This record gives sequence, C-alpha cells and structure tokens, in this order.
Amino acid sequence: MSETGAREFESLDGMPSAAAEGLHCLLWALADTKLLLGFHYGEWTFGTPELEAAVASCSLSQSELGHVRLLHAILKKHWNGDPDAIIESRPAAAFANTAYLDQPVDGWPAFVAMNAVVDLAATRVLASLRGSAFKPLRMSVDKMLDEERHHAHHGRGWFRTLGRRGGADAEQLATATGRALGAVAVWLGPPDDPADRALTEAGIRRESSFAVFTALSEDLRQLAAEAGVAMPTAVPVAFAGWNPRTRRNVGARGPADDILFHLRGEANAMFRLGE
Amino acid sequence: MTDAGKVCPFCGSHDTVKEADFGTSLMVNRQHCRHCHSFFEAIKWGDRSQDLDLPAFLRAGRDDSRD
Repeated sequence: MSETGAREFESLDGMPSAAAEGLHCLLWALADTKLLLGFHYGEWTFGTPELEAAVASCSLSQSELGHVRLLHAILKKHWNGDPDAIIESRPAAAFANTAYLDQPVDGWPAFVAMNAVVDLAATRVLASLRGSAFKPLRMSVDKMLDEERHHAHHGRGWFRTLGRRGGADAEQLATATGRALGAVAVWLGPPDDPADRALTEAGIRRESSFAVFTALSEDLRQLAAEAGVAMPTAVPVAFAGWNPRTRRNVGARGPADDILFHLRGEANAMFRLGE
Repeated sequence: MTDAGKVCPFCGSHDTVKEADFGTSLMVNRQHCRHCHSFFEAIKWGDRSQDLDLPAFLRAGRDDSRD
C-alpha cells in the first residue's frame, strides 16, 4: 500500500486508463519545465550580479537536468517513449513547459521570479506526488525534493534581497512575479481537470493542480509581504481550449526557435555519437 | 556535525553508512543505504532545514537529525 492508502502500482498494469494518461501528461510537463529551467539556469551561469549567484545558477541547472534524466527514464520504461528523439523532433507548440520559460529571461528580477515562482511551482507539483501509489515515481520524488530545497532557498533569498532594496528593483520583481504566476496558473490547469481527479482518486497525487496553485499563491503572498514586494491581488487566468497534453491554451506557440536551437544542440548535430 | 546517520533520499531509512569521504565534489560524501541498497551523495555540513529559508511544505516531513 502507498502512503495515500491506495492500491500500489509497480507499473501501469491495473492503473485506470484516465490516471495513466493523466500521469503521462503530468510527467512530460514536469520534464519539459525542468528542461527549460535547466537551459535558462545554465545560460545564467554568466551574467549574474554576484559570482556566488553564478555558481548557484550553474548548480541549479545541473540538478534540473538530473531530474529531467530521471523523469525521462520513467517515461521511457513505462510508456516506451524515446525522450531524446521526442525532444529533437517535437514542434515547439508540443512542449508542455511553463510558458514563462518560452522566451529569454531578460534580467535579474526575471531570473529571481523564475527561481522563486516557476521552479517552486514545479517543486509543489513534485510534493503533491509524495507517497504516490505509483511506486517508480515515489522512489524518486523525495530525492528530487531534497535538491529542490536548495533551489527554494536561493530563490527566496534573492527575492528578499531585491524586495529590501525597494524602488525599481522591487517593482521589476513584482512585475516578473505576476507574469510568472499567471503563466504557472495556466500550466497547472483548470480546477475541473478530469485527469487531475483521476490521479487523486487513484492515490497517485495527494492534491490537485488547483490546490497546488492555491498553496503556491499563499507561499508567494507571505514571502512578498515579508520582503516588501507589492504582489498583484489577483492573477487573471483564462482557460481557452486548454490542452492537457501541452498544458497550454489553444494557439500557444511554445519555446522560441532560438531557445530550441541551442537546447537541442542543432549547430553541433553532426558531432553526435549515435548508437 | 557528523557524517553518520544520513537519511536515505530514496526510501527514508536511517540505516545508512558512509562509503567514502568524497563524492563528485568536495562538499559531499558517498553513502550507502543498507535498507534499499541505493548509493547516494550527502552534503557534509550546513544542510539542516533550520539553516535554510524554506516554505513550510519543504520543511514538512524532513528529519533535521541528518547532520
């Protein structure tokens, strides 16, 4: 039995099809978000305001890419996917990452919002999978959360620093935080998502995405109040033709071409080692 | 501060033993879990939850006796 008291699943055998499909989509969304987080953190190894932040950003990138490998291994084993091939061949609009990561992170306040909001949202989703009835995932979640504690520590520290400085720094942080929270709200999905319900009923998740968003908003409200950052009182969120596979509204474009070009290493494709 | 008694990040067991003083970097050592037989790296110092600025959900369920 899992910690949720539900039947335990060693594989997809016997798992309700709606839960299996919902889990597939959720793991891809986590993997894609962590892939893009890793890319942006990696790019920000240089350009940070302090050398220590550069070292931290490089480290954050490494652990996100480690989590991607771990999630891809689960996807490969249980859904027979080829994550490498899918990353190389999928159109941008098929990526299920948080839209905040679709474009370059254009300044330090935007970086801090990525760290303190987008990264934390993915961590809250992971935390909702603690004690999961899907054993292969349960064995990995605590390891990832252990590392994410340091991501949260770093994001909150810089959030407080920019907030204390006030003025334009705090204003830019508030703007970026509002933008990040809006993107995360769409990524987490509507409150009535049937896949979410199937996952919680099967004991694979402890709480729904909507509950995750509510809790995340409260985390940030408390942090912003302590840091003196003026948070938006409400984040307008619209779900128009929301696609559970991409966790985006209809017409969303996905990561920018330049980002995918660098992320995929297309300029160096001729040097790949192959099988 | 001690290198003993790290909690296994895979299964949560305390039945762990230090295998090597260094892992892939100076700040970590290599540990073995005798319960689930996993190997893992653990930060040697300064990893107690009370030293970190964390939202409540990342503190919950943590065992601060790791160090």
